[in-house]
Amino acid sequence: MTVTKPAAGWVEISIQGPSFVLEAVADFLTSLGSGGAIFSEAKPSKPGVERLTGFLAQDRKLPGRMGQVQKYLADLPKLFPDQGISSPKIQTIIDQDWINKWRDTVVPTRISRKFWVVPEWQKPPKEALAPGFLIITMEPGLAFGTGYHATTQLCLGMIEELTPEPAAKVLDAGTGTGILAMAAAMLGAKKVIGIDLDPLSLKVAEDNIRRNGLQNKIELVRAGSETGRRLVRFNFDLIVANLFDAELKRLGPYLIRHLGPGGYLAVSGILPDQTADLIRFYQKLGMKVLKRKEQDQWIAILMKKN
Amino acid sequence: MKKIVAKIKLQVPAGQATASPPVGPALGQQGVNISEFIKKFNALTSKEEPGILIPLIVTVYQDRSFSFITKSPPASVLLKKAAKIAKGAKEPGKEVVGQVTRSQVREIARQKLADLNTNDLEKAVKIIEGTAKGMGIQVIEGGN
Repeated sequence: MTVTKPAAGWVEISIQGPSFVLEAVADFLTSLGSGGAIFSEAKPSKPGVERLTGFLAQDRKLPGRMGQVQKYLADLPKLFPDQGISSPKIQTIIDQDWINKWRDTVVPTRISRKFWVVPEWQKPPKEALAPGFLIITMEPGLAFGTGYHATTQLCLGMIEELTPEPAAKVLDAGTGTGILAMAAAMLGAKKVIGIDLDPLSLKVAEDNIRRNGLQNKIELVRAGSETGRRLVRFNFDLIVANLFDAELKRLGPYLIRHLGPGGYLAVSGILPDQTADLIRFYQKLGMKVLKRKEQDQWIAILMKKN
Repeated sequence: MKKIVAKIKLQVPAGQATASPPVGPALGQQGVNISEFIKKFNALTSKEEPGILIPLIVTVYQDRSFSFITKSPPASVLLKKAAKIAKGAKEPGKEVVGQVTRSQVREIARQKLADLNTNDLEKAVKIIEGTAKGMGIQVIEGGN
């Protein structure tokens, strides 16, 4: 005999009104067991007005709770007349495994000529295992550089084209998830340093580097630390900096100082209308522009130190 | 470089975020790694009073990475503390579950000023009084 488990679900309750009233509603729904509330933009959008959504579990206490909710919400417009409080929208939603549902949307993706990004919980597809391809295992999360963004892909393309000789020393400035540092290491760089200001990103990068077995090749450094200040001695052969316009200007002299003679600098995170100005900025600092690439309205520039 | 695709405004109980609604569907729909959010949020708010609502804004970027900021406790929480009550009224307008003084309201308004998008303290006081009314908390004249 098959026993079918009754579908557990949730009752979604939403109401539109002034934010100060919704604060009280959120508190009320939470006291009845809602695990918090969502505040979204009112439709049509109006300053000081939002839509609040709370959820109650469909369990044996639900009928009693819903009685209280309906009474509370019905009384609100009387308590706050002329405040534009909407009538509540109540609907049932089926319980789902939200985590796995999200996971299903993250698929192995080829992000450059050689690289595939494969989520940690999935097997790499057959194409990715073919000779000539490299696989980076990742979990998208709290740091930039999951591989899905144009600027990451542009930088990867540039690192691939330069494929460092085994002796190459590479600096990834603003390493985020560590993806570009890992790519450089996989392509044969001998020493790779990933630097970042954000301690959280460094933690994420550390996990990713371990996940991909690259601990021996990549060193992570906190920007502004004593180690960070001593990086200049490395005379890097390649620096990748996937940042944004203002940061690329602020850090320009620093990046160039860290490059060895004839070293390459690949920068991205630039919008098309910022490009000409940024190129002039780096040319004034003595850099020679070799290449400019565009993808999804993002620009990357490859330069060489004279 | 980090192009924003969505901002999600939530109130979630400190240290008690789960993948159930509202967190699961709200973040899942925008492609946010739910487990990672839960882990980080609960760790960050573990020092707060368990279950106290924390307002937060989750920013989702084009490459599915995200960040979030937490804000000061909501007015509802501050009002309950000031009135020394655990819960607001089930039937505000018909029952009064607690009282706060006008100067307490003013203090809460001052504390929430930045989150209320106003520099006008009087306006902020009115907002807090409105929330108090919705919770069945009476505002009375006087100091502390």
